[in-house]
Amino acid sequence: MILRPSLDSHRVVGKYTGKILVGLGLLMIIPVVCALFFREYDIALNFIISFSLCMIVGFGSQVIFRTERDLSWSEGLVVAAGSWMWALLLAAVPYYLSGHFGSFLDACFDVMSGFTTTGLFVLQDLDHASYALNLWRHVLTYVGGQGIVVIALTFLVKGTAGAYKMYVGEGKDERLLPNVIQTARAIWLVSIVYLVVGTVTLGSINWWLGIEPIRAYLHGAEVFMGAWSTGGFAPTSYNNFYYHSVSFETVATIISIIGSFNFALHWAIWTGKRKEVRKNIESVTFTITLIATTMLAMWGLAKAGIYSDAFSLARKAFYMVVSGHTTTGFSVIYARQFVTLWGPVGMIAVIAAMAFGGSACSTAGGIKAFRIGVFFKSLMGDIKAMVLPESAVVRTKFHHVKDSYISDKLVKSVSTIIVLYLFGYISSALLGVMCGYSFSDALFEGVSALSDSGLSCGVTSPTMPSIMKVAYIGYMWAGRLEFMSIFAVGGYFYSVIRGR
Amino acid sequence: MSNAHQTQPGSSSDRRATFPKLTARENWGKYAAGLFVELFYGFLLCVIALVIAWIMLAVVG
Repeated sequence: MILRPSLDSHRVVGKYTGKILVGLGLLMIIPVVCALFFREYDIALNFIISFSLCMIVGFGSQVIFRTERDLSWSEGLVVAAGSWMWALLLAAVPYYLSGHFGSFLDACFDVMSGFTTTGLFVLQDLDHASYALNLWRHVLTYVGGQGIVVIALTFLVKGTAGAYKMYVGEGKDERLLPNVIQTARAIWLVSIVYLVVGTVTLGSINWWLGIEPIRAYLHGAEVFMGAWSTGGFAPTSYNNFYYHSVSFETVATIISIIGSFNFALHWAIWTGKRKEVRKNIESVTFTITLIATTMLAMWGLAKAGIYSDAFSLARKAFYMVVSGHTTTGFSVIYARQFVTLWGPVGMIAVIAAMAFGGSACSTAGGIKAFRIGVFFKSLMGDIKAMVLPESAVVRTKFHHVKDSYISDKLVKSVSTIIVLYLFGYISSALLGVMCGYSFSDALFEGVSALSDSGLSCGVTSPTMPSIMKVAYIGYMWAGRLEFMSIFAVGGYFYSVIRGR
Repeated sequence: MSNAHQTQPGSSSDRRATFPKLTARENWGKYAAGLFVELFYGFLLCVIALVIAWIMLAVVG
């Protein structure tokens, strides 16, 4: 028998969702200030309208759903996933009012792409978008990378028990510090230090390249946000191809790689455990799969004779594979060149890289290095057990901040998520084929959406069928929250309708 | 951050004592060293990619 959620349960979900929406509203002050600085008054008004809506809905739900009760596990998951849907609708308002989108659905598509750090976009005429709107795109992706819930935990939520449940619901399950609010603050500390370092470095390179200072550093900040959050948004329609600079691309690549690290790994390295970078199961797995996919891509491209010297080959192939593997989505080739120039081997390498993804509890998407590493070690353990005498006890160890043994429960949870991702990748490809795209194009774009990568081979555009836009919004959402929170929301609504 | 790992959630009514300040001055040296290690790792991967490209062109290209 399914139990219908109590009135108190609705109250606690409404209260915490309201807090998160207030946090989203406060973020809109950033583009308002930017719009006023650049005298974009119409755009400022759009953001003030959206800010007001967030405050009305956020504070309104906290007043209506007043309760002192803490969140249960399922409620924490529902708040995490549900607040993303509310945030999607409210953050899309300034997008829609800007006139750069053909429909409200298109605006929602770009917001979800930003929040989930995907980087696919259907915004029209990006090169003439206002400074404030462009900044908002990047703020969304930067904030989405850390997690909307993490923001609320940092500034707006007190207490620890219920807060941790929302934090887990957002696809993060690592406690950097014993207290989840301190954990959220540590995540912000790491991100803000890198924001300063990355913006100064990229901005200075832009200035040196000849871009005027304010624009140079604004682009620097925006590209940093795109790289660190593994979002892949860039201020111009040419993406990072626009800058034509090896130093710029190298810095962006390094930031993308570091951005795809687990925050627990960051924190371990930052607090003195520097050997962690070569011992941790995630960094080791990531290095192996990155080198393997890079070799595959380079083999295909070298055989086809597309890039004649090692430097050009490394510059293009490694950049694109890193972009896919870290699920950033930056590009230094035109979208259709994946099909027309790179060919099947290059595409397969990038699809595999995107499918693997970055680290758990990071800004990256995909299956994640931790799961691939645990799955592979577990497989090795099983093979070892088969060749050893029956009486031998095989226990497989892995290192992630500390040494741990692989349990059946861990393998089960890892396998479940891997299967869900694989099912998602295949279903997204089938949807694309049903809408008239070739299998390779549909698979590339579907994997890109579900892994929150954002690389495109030209399928994503304003003219894409609406059913694919809706489906990709769902894929991006599911990929970022790693399915379980989505199931919790589905279960919540089902129990509201059918429960007793 | 020196003693943060020894604390227990909710074990003290004095939150300041339980959760030391992350931005305390003595932590910044460690943070800077960690940041350098991460940047070096990223740069090292770029160098490895260049070596792989050179090998691939020599072998296959």
